[in-house]
Amino acid sequence: MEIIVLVVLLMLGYFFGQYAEKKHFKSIIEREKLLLKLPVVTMRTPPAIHQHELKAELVTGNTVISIDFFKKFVASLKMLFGGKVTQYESLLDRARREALLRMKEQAKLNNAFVVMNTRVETASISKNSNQRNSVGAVEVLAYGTAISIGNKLENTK
Amino acid sequence: MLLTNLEQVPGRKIIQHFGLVQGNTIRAKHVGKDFLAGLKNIFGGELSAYTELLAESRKEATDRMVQQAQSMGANAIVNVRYSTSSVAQGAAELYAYGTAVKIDL
Amino acid sequence: MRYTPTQPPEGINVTDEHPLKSFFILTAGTIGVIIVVVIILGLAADHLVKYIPIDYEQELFSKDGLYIMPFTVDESDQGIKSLQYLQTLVDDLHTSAGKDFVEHKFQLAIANEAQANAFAMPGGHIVITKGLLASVESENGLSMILAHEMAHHYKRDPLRSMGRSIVVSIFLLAIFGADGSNILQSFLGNTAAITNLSFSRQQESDADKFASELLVKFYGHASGATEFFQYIKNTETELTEIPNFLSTHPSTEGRINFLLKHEQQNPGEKKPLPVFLREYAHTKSADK
Repeated sequence: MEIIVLVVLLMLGYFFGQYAEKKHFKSIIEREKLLLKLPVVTMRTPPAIHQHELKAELVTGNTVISIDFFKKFVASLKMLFGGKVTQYESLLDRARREALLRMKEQAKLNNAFVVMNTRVETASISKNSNQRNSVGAVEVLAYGTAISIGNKLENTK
Repeated sequence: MLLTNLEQVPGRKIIQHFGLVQGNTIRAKHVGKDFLAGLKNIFGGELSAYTELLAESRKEATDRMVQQAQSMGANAIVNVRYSTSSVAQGAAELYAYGTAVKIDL
Repeated sequence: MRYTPTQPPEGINVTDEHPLKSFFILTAGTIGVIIVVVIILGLAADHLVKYIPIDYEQELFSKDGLYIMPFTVDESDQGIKSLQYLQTLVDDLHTSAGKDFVEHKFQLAIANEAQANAFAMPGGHIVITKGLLASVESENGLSMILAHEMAHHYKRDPLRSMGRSIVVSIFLLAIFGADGSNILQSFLGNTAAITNLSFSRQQESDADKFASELLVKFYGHASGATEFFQYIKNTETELTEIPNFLSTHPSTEGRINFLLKHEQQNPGEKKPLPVFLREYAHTKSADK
């Protein structure tokens, strides 16, 4: 009985999980292309543009993405043996890129030409935080300062 | 109130600083949302309810930080940082902190 | 500084391999490792049991020791009389079992249960349910069951299976620690349990063989050996049947076939059950 439940859950997780992941990656790649012109950097010194006033604003983007049952199961088997847990790679990659994209989308709305000092924070969201092998979902927050061009300065040197 | 995570405000001069300001909230997930999240744990994918919940909570933490800064007479917060930690089962703390400053406008 | 928009290629942070590949390797690997470990630990437990003297086992699992009767016992005069009859039958069977097993002693008990079943418990205890007394037609049929449980004791199966389950739980505990249950734990636990079941089925077949041979020694023939199993087969419905690899016992069909052959090779007259036992067996049991 338990075996049947396990197999059904694994199959559901596999098919829906793979489908969701493929779809998500496709959308990420598309949107990344659209926003490619907007640079996102980790540098902290704003560019020196003297003719214009620069406007700075904090922009953030976050997402919570859950792993599917299939990958979680395979990953927990992998954790018995140790080694590289490739099953979680795509989850974290998707979440980080999605969060960064959302941040960039917000920056784009502010007509920013660069996002500076970009930081990425990852936190694991799970039902039982003290239980081991329990990475159920991750939250990624990306934030940075969107720099946009304001009014033209009157006293240009 | 101007927020940035740079160390200065581009094109402005910081004339006064007030030290650290911070804001936090601790949010618990609610049962209904948790149930749906449990289902999503099978299928995988984004937990939009959680995404919104955390974004909302983070905004509240930011607002609290801004309130602190306002009460000090600051008009900007520089070097803003966020951090997330889970303090108890099913509850997360969202924390925002930065340096309250006065810039010339 | 000039910004050149470039997109890094895919597949650097994400390993590009088919997820099913690692799934099959890992599941097969884990199941394999568990089967091997459980077999090795099981054999070790079996081996250790040989070093536990029989009288020590009997003392440890005596009524003042670890033995707990899991059923209610009927203490009416009829019940005591039937118990004495069973005890004598077992002792007689024991005498004809031969010199190899002299050290063994048996303690009988009748459980006040309607479901036909018999158990061998560590320390030479044999529990027979009232339902079983009603399910057999002759003394030969009853002796078959008693001899089957005795065979378990001669082979020290109760202690062996106890040793196995202890060893397996320790092994699983070593992997997971004592913390809560999760799906992986039950998966591995089930794999280990299923591996142990094959030992259990082997033990049952061995006990059947031994018991029918003991019948021949005692009565001079093996008639009645299939009585109880015929009864089980008639009451078994398709719903209650479990797939063979998930069962502690071999299939009833297979056991009947094996015993029937033995019966046909050693034909003889069956001995009826004493009247008081028949009457007692058909009185009401504690459960409905």
